[in-house]
Amino acid sequence: MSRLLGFIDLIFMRIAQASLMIMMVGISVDALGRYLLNRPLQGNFEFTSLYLMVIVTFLGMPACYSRGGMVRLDVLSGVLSRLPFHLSERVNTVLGALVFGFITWHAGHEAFDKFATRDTTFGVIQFPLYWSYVWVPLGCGVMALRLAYETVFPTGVIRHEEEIPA
Amino acid sequence: MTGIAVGSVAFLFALLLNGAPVAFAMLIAGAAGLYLTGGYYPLVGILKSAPYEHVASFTLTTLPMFILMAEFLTAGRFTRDLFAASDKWLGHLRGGVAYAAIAGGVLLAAISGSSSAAAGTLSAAAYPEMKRYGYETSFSTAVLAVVGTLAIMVPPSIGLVFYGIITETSVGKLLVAGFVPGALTAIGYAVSINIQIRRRPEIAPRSPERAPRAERIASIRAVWPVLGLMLLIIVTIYSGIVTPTEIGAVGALMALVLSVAMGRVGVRAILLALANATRNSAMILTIIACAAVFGAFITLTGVTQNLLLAIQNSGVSPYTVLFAVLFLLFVLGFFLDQVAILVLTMPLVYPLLSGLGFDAVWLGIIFVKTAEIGLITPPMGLNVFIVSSTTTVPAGVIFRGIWPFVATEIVILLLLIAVPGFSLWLPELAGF
Repeated sequence: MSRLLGFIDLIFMRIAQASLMIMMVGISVDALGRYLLNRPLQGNFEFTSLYLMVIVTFLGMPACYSRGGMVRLDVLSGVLSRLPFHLSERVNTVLGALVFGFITWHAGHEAFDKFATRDTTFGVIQFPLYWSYVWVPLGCGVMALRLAYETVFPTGVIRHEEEIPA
Repeated sequence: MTGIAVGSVAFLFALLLNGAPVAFAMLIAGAAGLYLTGGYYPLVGILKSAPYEHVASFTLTTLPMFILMAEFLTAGRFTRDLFAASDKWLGHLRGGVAYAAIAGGVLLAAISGSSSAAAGTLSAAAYPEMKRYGYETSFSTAVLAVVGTLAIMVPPSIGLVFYGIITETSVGKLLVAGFVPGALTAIGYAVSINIQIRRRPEIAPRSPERAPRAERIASIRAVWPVLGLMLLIIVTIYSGIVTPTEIGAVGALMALVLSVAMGRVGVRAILLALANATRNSAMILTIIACAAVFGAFITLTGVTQNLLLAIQNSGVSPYTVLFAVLFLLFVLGFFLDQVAILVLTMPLVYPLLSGLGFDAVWLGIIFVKTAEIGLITPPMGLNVFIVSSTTTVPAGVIFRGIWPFVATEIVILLLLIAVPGFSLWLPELAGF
């Protein structure tokens, strides 16, 4: 299970990395095109905000957590690690798993509804919105699974930042 | 309502003390508070929409783009060259390597909003030099930890961009407002170094010979593309020709092109920089997404309005409230990262203080400045630990040398509070 979650984290992270790169190129082409050639990149605003930003956030989140990239307060970590049954860690992971599971369920339903109605933006260009709702349940679902897994099999350590392999 | 708000804030701090990631603690406490305040349906409505809607924002792309630019420049080893160039010009002065670190820190800060990247790079480059010339260890490492903080204030500052986004204040105006306080901070550090060296000359006993003119000019040639990029960022932000979002992306692209064109990075280094930028961006964006839930809960309780009304009725001076808030930020800075401090406190504190009549831009500058001090204070001063890991000097030794700089920071903060013009003059001049 741990290896499977690690594999999904890696795939998600690669997609997030690609999104960040596309974001940089897209905004630059749009800005330079508008100021130098008076030809902006149509749809870039919507694609960047509704897709790329959501992907970077929600698909980057599980790998960021599993590699210790999340900011946390660890002034009491020495004391808390001495509690029996990894109690402190399990409280955090079980509450996190419940809330992320709850978001996954409801955001998943919403994504399904948006797909069913082929939701688009209003305006001259009707930009498809429905795919942008997929990333929240995907990222939160993997996050919920990871936290549930760690509730059953605690890691026993508060993770600190590790370098992500390129 | 106020009871639920207090209970949820207490629950939030209990989770934080229990070691939960800040983002998750805000999400869990916010969800619990929403359920207690509004019941099941408001909870569902906010949980499925608020995190998505808060990150699906074009303005927010400024953060990952500035982070990416800093990562590409670090990968291209330009940051190290900036210190080397500063050292060639200033190193011969008494305490010159320390002044060069300050100058390098300012230049680094002008191309990167990342304090930790600046502290790490500068300490790797400058510490061996300082050691070679017999600088006292606690003094030299404290200088290196402190100069990293310049990146928090000097534009493009991630802290100011973050504040602008969560409080819906003009990011461009905030970045322009950061110029003078950033310069003031750098001057303050230089004065502090000068005073310390005059009082205790043994902390910086020797200086290198003055570099020949040809070497000094050659050092500029090595960094001119970065200086050009820095100038472009400053001019475009100041003039408002392009938005901070656009300049972030164009800056990142130019940093990548420069690094590749000058043969400074390979594919592996680019991928590593991209991986680091994605991880850091995901971390900050996750905090924003989760904080949206807590923010919605605070709004729903109406606790800010109640608090504002209570303060107005009690006759307490707005400045007393401001100083109480700054004290809270200062204490939180001992334990938490700057982004976390801002996201934890702003949902309650910003509407309260802007409601008391304080200027949003000025508040941003002094909030970020206060939070910045936490980067160098024990027990959690992030920059101190970064310098410690780079130089292998124990953090306790670095903390011993840090106090004169903390005093300098407090003096600068008081100056910025006493004279709002330091923060507001330039944005007015630029026509924001």
